[in-house]
Amino acid sequence: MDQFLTQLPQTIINGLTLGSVYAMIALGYSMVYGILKLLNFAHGDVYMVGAYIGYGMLLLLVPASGPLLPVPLVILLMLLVAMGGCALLGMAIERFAYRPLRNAPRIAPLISALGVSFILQNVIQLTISPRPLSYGSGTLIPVDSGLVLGDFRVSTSRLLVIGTTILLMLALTYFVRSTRTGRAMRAVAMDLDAAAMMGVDVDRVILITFLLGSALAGAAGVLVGIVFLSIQHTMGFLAGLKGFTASVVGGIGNIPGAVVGGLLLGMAEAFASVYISVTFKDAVAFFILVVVLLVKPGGLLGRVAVQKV
Amino acid sequence: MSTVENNPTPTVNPPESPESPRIGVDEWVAQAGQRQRQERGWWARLEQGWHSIPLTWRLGAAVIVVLLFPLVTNFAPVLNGLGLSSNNFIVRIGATFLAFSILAIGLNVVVGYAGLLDLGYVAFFGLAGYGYAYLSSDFIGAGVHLPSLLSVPLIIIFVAAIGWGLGALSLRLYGDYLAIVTLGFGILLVQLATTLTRVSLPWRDQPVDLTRGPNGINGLDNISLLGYELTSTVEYYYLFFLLLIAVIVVVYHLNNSRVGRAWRAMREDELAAEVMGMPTRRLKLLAFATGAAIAALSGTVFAAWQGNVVPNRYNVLALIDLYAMVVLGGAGSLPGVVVGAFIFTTLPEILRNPQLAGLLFYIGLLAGLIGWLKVSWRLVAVVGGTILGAIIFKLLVGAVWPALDTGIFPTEGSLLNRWVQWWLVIPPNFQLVGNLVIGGAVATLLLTLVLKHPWRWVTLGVSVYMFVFAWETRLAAEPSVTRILIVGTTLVVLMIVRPQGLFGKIQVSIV
Repeated sequence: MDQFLTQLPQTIINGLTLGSVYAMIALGYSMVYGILKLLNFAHGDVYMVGAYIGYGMLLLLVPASGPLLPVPLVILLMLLVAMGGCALLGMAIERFAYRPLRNAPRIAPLISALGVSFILQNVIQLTISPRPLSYGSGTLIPVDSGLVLGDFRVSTSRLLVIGTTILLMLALTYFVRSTRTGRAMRAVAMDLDAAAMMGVDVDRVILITFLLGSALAGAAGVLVGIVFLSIQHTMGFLAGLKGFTASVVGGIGNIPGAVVGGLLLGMAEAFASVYISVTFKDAVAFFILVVVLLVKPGGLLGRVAVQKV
Repeated sequence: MSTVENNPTPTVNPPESPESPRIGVDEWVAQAGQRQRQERGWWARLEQGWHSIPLTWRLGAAVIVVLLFPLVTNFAPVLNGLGLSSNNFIVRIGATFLAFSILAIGLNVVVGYAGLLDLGYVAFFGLAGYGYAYLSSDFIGAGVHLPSLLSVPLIIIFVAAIGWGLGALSLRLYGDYLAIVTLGFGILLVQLATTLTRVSLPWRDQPVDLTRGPNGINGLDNISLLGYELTSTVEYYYLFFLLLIAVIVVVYHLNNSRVGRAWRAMREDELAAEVMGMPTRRLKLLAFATGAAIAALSGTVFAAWQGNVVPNRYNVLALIDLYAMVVLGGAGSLPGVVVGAFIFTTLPEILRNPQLAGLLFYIGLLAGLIGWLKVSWRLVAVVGGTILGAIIFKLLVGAVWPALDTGIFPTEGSLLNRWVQWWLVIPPNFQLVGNLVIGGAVATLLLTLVLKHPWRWVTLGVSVYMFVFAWETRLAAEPSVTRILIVGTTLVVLMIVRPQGLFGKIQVSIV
């Protein structure tokens, strides 16, 4: 019991960190699914590419002699460039791999998405490295810095992840709730054909959805690199799967739901790896997915989708 | 009067055969699309010619080719011609092809006939392999060695039951949820197979190794049938062939039965099928179980043939390969699936040989251009312009900055390679440049797709040049990555250009 209590705060922090990352990935899945009913398997790989873009910026801005710019600015630039690059990538994927398939049978875009996912993974493997790369961000953020609260410590990098996530979530919520384009997005998600008839430029809205989702995934990739210090070309597939799980758990197509699902999944995984066994940490996500789908198929915050004919 | 009606004027549209419906009646209108497809394209003509050969002849020819294949390749002249000392290597590729054909046919039942997107299919292949490892090796205790005729059916029943269970679990999920749950199931099993090396069980003092981790389990027994033990690859080749025939016969008749018709009805419109009184729950479970059983059949024999099981054989990569096979051939078409399996099992072997790989690449590039631009002056202009531009570029580089062109080719040998050499600039650090050019090639190709201006033929030429450069400097040197890139690209392009696959029929969805 003692051990349980001493490990509890750290586990919660770990869970929040993981959960923030899953939430960011989940948002991209959730928004795209909400609009196109498309399972974008390539989304996890967009996140992976984001981590690599961040790595490239890190190499560029922090040579062996030390950072060229103040550290917060370096991190900000890494995030911004990765988000921009991923947004472009996401839009290109939508334009070339999914848009021609808008009216194809449901299975076609799914298979196309699998293909895109494999192309991204292997282009990175071929052009950069098949081995895991070390994100030398220890030089940026000292490992022992952080917020000390009594007996335990929240490291700066974890604070950064959680803080950035909250910030991006707020920005996204504002965008979707209060802007014209956000309203168009909600309209298209509700009924694509009706929105098109009301004069919404559906193609543009879909592109913007991919832009937003991919940018968030790119940010998540950089943050994961900063916190967990290691990136690999295969990291996207499982993360994408968990991101999707998170969005389903929270209720697909629902933005607060994706956040709740992500945090829940992150917490569950952190607790499972401390109190059960690290071996089963991936199994936990899957288990939660199956249980939620069986008990509450609409997700925690979602409404049960009524199939109309 | 009736004679006039029965003989429509031949000048309007001559009937193709006596059985074809009268012009103007509903059946004739319904077949309009089919007729239109039949009449154009070299592919359609090839298909027609192929279909005019009686079915028994076609099948017989295929059977004879497969039967004689190990014998022919064992001839000394053939072996010398291929530069091999024994035909073991080729027969191994053949056996892999047959094993994957069986697997792909099983996937075809689930995806092609029943229309369920099962992304955990490889897991059944793997479960069967591990099941066989437990029942026929020294792994458990002092060693369990069941006779194959007992263990194989046991495993098939067991795996089919798991398939049924997974189906039952995910039945309440429609469409995409099914895909994600099954994909999670597949990935999870591979992970567990890699990590379950120290599991503490309540009734044992020490942690137990359930899977031997990433190295897998070795020393599996051979398949033995009534005392005759199969040892050589050729024997396994013929066993796989027998199994393939059996599976094809079963699946063919299944597809033409009540169940097969119900599956197709369900695939086309689940709600309508249910309203018509078809037990969609049972049908889905049956499809899952049938697919799993076929995967298990192939999986056990494959594991026995290899003599080991390793988790990595059953990962997502294998799944993508299988999907590529089914989709390329055309989901729902048996010969298509077998052809797909043939292409994707021989492709990696071809890529391993730099000369053949180069040949394949340039043929593929040209075929792609022909498919896009058709045989036209535009095609000649693009290809000729690319080569001409490249030569001018090379001369310019030679005049302005000679150090940039080393003239040293990273890959040596083939005829085509030498032909490309005199118009390609190879800089000193070609690997780095090649990496960048891969991105450039894709970007210019995508740009070409977007541009509406005639300039796009210029960007297409630049893209072709970059692809050739990327191939010669990077892709040809990394066959394993290149193969996956080809598989991925095939999936995307095929879905856009010909979603029904090579042999599939176009599905018209009426909304």
